[in-house]
Amino acid sequence: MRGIESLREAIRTVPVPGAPARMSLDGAALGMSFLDTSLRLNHVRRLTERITVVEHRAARRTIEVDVNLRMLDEGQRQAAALCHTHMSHERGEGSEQSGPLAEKSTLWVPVARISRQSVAPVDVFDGSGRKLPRLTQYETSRLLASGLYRLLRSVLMSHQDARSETRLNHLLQQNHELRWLIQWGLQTLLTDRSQPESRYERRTPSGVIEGRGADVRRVALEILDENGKYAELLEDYNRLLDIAINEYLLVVALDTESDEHLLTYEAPVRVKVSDHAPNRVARMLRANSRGYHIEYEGRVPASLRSYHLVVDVEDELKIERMYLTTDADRASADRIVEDLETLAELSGKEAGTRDRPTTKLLELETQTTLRHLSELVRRRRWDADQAGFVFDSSRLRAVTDLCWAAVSGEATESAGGQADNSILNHPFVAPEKLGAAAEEVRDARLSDDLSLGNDPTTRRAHVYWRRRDTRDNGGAQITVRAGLILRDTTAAGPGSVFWYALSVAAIAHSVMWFLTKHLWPYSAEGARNLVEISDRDAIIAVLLLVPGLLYTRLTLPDRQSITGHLRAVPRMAAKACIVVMAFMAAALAAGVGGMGLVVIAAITVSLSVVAAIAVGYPEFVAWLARRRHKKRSIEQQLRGMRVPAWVDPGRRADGKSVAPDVIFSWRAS
Amino acid sequence: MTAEPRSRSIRTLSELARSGYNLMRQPFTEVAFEVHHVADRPGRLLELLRDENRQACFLETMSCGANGGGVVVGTRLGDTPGSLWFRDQGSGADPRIQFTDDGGDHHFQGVARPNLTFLYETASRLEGIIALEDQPKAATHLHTVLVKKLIGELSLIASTYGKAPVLSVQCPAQRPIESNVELDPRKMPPSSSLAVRFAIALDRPSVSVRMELASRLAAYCETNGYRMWLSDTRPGHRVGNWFGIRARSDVDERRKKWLTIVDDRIGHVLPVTFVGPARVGSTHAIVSFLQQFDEVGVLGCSITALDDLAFVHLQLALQERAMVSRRFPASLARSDGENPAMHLTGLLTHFFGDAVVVHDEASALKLIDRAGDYQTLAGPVLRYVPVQRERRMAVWVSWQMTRRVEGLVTPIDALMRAWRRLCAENPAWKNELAVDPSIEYLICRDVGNSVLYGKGKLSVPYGLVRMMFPQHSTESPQAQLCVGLEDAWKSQLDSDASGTNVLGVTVAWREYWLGHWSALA
Repeated sequence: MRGIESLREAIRTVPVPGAPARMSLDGAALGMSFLDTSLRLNHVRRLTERITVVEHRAARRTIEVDVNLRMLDEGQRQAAALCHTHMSHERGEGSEQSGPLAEKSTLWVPVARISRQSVAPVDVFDGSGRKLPRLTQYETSRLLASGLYRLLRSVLMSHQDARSETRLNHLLQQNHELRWLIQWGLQTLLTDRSQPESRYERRTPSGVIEGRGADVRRVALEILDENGKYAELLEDYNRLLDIAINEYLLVVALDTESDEHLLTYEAPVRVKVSDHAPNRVARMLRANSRGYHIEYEGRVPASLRSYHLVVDVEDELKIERMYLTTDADRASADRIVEDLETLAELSGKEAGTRDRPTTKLLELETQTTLRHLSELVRRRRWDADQAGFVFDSSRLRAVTDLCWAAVSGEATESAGGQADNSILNHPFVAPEKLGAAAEEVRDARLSDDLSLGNDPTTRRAHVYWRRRDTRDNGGAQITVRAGLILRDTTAAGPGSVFWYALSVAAIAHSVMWFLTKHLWPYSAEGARNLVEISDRDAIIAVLLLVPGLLYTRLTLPDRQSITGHLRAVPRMAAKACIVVMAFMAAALAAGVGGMGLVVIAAITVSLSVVAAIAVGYPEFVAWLARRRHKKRSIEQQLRGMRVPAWVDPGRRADGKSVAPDVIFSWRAS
Repeated sequence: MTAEPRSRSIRTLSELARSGYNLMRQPFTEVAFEVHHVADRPGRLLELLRDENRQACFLETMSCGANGGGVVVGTRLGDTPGSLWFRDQGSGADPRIQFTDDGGDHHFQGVARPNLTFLYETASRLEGIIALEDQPKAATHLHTVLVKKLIGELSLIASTYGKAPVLSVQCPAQRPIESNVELDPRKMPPSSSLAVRFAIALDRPSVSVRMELASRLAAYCETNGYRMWLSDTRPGHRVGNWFGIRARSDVDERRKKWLTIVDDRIGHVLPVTFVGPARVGSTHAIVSFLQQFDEVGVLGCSITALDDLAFVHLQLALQERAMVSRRFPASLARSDGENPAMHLTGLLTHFFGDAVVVHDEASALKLIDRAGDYQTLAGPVLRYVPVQRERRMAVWVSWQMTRRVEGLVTPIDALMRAWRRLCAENPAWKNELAVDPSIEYLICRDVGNSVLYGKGKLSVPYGLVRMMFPQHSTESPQAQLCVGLEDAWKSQLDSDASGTNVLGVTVAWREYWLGHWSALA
């Protein structure tokens, strides 16, 4: 439930009040200023997210905010200073406040917006590690409720009905209960810990009629009806209310002695797991060769200047490759697609007409759209260049032709032999090509940019994104998605298990060889030759102690760790070997002999050999691949990750991509 | 045309929250404004800015002067958004307008409720220029009727087909400058022509919407023989770059169909300003109400939105032969709660007697519906001054400034002093030629972060420029003038104590060169 609909639900469910809600004018102004500042974030120079991957499907997220108080404008500073006095009075602290805040001047500044889905407490620290005072969510919500009520009233007052005998005038000027009901509804909606998710409905029982309270409620609901007379007027207010309802403002007190502040707070990160069991098994078997794929999905304010993502992993791992993609160009790309489709339609109609004003209009719009398209393609091409691979335009034929027509400056020769600069006459510009280009832009997802981390491979990697100076951002937030591949740095791990499994097989085989005096004891003849075992304890000791001793020397990672996930096959192989050896020892201890012992030994040896092959074969294949291609290209590294389609045109054709091992997200799935 | 929900950027939503904050610092959610109807003459704006009787300074301002009349509109009068005022008539009563008649100039001060959801200032827009006639020696009643019809058509197309408001309309306006004008100075257009410059907000700036609106405008121009340009939207172009849509003017051939209108010379103009919450369709409602009165034309107009308030300023041209009175009674200067339809009817009845009859009730009802809460400010009756015979060239200026107590007076005063210094230090200067440039148009807006951006168009006699700056092998006289004036303006600001708050001053004779230094280097 969003915006006005939530407010309507609150109005439906709170009792009609007999007095106005406690709302102050200063509080209302502060609420609006905080909302403005948290949307604008003009004082936030950079946002850094640090993801520390602690184990398989577990991570910590720390957010660093670079704040410069000089970048607050005059009105924002005024509100930030006013908040100090206002909150002192609200808390009953009076003007004689003691403590650190009283000694030096502070500004209360919103530094972030946090989703209300998160219930984790947020502590903000400054650069020296000192915990900063912050407004509680209740205090902030009360300010917002006051501000949003007065804003609603101001918006409705600007309608011409506000001055005539209408229901709106009734609401705004005459019926106090009507206004109080909206006030209480807003305050309840914003200050309560939970928000409504569904509509509570109940049939009117028979024998009752609409009383005064129901009448008041009905008029309030009619005025705030999403399809009603004032819906268009309230459209933007609805969006603002939606943000206030679904997001908390993080407002902290900053010392004005310094303009620059580096703030840190921890935010929850959630795990999305969506794959089925067969996929998990298949991925586990290939984990060591393909690496461990992590994806991170986040959202940052569209007004943010720059964004930095840093990922740290365990000591035994390295980050082979990391990319970041955002949909910051989504609004402009969508518009280009829509405009290309419109132009394709209009060009077909206008074909053959010359020198009419509409042809000139079409010329202007075509040139504008194609130049915007060429700018979009140029940005993607430079993204690829920066990342170190070649932009593949083989599947963007219509797009590249149109871009060339837009920027090459080529003209056609007119009947008089002069240069005709009209782009509509360029041979590349045809209605069908405009339509094809729209599809190509959409299919290749040219709206998604790409930044690639190009640091040396270590256990830490980072990618950087900076906002383009544009007003095209269509929404309140930009979606960022990062992907990375982790690899095991302890190369000896699988090798030691391979040799261990072979050792186990060799020990079991040797024992049987000596007991049967036959090189291949796993036959009926071997069973017949089996000597009488005089000291079974000694043999059992050999079978258990030697493999057990070797097992303890193996470097097997914890099952919950990422290296444990990457080395799942060697880990299981080692365990299988020790289990079958223990089984054989148990058989000997129980006095099993003859054909029974031969069969058990055969199982032990063969399972150990299979375990050695299961561990050794992928390593061998990987070693061969490494020898063949000295180093994997960036395209190869990115292939299989969920990069934008324009990066990997081959994948675009079949539409398949490999699901990551884990998706960390800012919100629950 | 499909009607999809508006895609609002985060910037637009923050503007709504910011507007709310600015208003809530006041006990009543209203915006204070000033409107001055004055006789147009060089230096008049500066006199108003310097007026010591005024307690507040001009910050967000629109000023224009033409045809002998001038208007200055200002909002956000103060150094901070937080200064309080009080009202003594309760919260439900209509705002009261203070009116002063200062020897023929009318000054209005008041408050109005803004439309906070009018978030189009930062939106995409369709801008254009429609030229009715290059430069008539003197406008006639026929011209004013044509302007009135054009503004009506323009606002109709915006509100009906674009569902969007008219952000600004300016008449007279300068025609676009052709690219090769340096080679042939005769091609340089005069500083103002009988042309209408407009900007329509676009909710969804798609090709389909632009084509829908522009093709209807182009068809209207085709029918009437007007020239038309649209702002060049191609990347790498900016405000002041124009793309010709209909280059040929054939007004004379098409004028025949207007012969039923008795052409008459214009003797006087009546400035009228409507102030109210900016909303879609209000301009069209006002102009379409005026369409029914044949005796009234529109000689000039300045329509703009400041601080979510719409200011629709019209210079009404009254047909001389039909007038029964030329005296303006003070009682008609402000509407005092009367709706615009009634007040306009009262005004026109005063000037034309019983000849004026409201016969289009639908347009009256529409005006009450869309702009019934607008306040009407009128008068005085000013003598029409036709375009001067001498050729005048436009000089565009721009600047940025932080919010200061002195407000707009700092950059404008420094600019005028710079002009005088430039003239005085020129070897070819003669004192008998002393004349200040006319400020034909000026706009100053808050662009956020306590920064105001101003832009203006001055006009100076081209002969004077040629005399002061002879043709140079590398620079034209107009380029030399702009370089010199820009340097002198910077110098004046540097020597001024409060001038340090004015930055990025530029002077150019082409609008799209603003924001870049004038010198060739």
